[in-house]
Amino acid sequence: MKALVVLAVSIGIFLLLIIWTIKISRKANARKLTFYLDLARKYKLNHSFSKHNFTALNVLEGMWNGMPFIIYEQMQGSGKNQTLVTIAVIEDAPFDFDFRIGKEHLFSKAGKLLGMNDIEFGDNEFDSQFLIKAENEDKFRSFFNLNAS
Amino acid sequence: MQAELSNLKKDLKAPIKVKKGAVNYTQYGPITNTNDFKSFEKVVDFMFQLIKEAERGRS
Repeated sequence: MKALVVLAVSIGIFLLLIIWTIKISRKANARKLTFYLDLARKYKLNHSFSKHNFTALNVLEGMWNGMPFIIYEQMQGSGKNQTLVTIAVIEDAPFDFDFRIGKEHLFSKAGKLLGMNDIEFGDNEFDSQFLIKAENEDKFRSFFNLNAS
Repeated sequence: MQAELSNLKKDLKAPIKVKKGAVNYTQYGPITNTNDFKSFEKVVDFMFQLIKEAERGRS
């Protein structure tokens, strides 16, 4: 009899956990949907979505200024290491050189020590906050300076 | 552009990468609140701005 009670309580707790998870996921999915629909309207993109377990994965697709533009959510990794990532990609952009604009952090500083190239702007505050790397430093400087003028 | 980028100090959660003409921003972890959504939107707007400026530079 005692074992039956324990089993029933365990099953009850398990079911409550599932219901709670579904409710939380639905709320999060609804919040995301509002955001993605707003973005779809703003950028004139088509919205669609798929499901991964209880998580809705939104996709916005279309064109921006004649360039293919997509924003999508994706699950990356496997098992306990799975994480949701949100990706925005604009293709066919008019850049003939590669570059990367990120924030300075502990590992980027280590990268500098290992000899990785980065571009300094001579502005201590800016340089301490951002890490810019470019395949072609001259082209990037020309692009950035042009835009600064 | 430097000033616009400075304004993204709190919003840029990952690098913007430009490779072979594709401008890519990948943010790890779920975006669950309004502030995170707004940050993401600001970064996308900055990506557009980069492209517009590149187009301006070419013309």
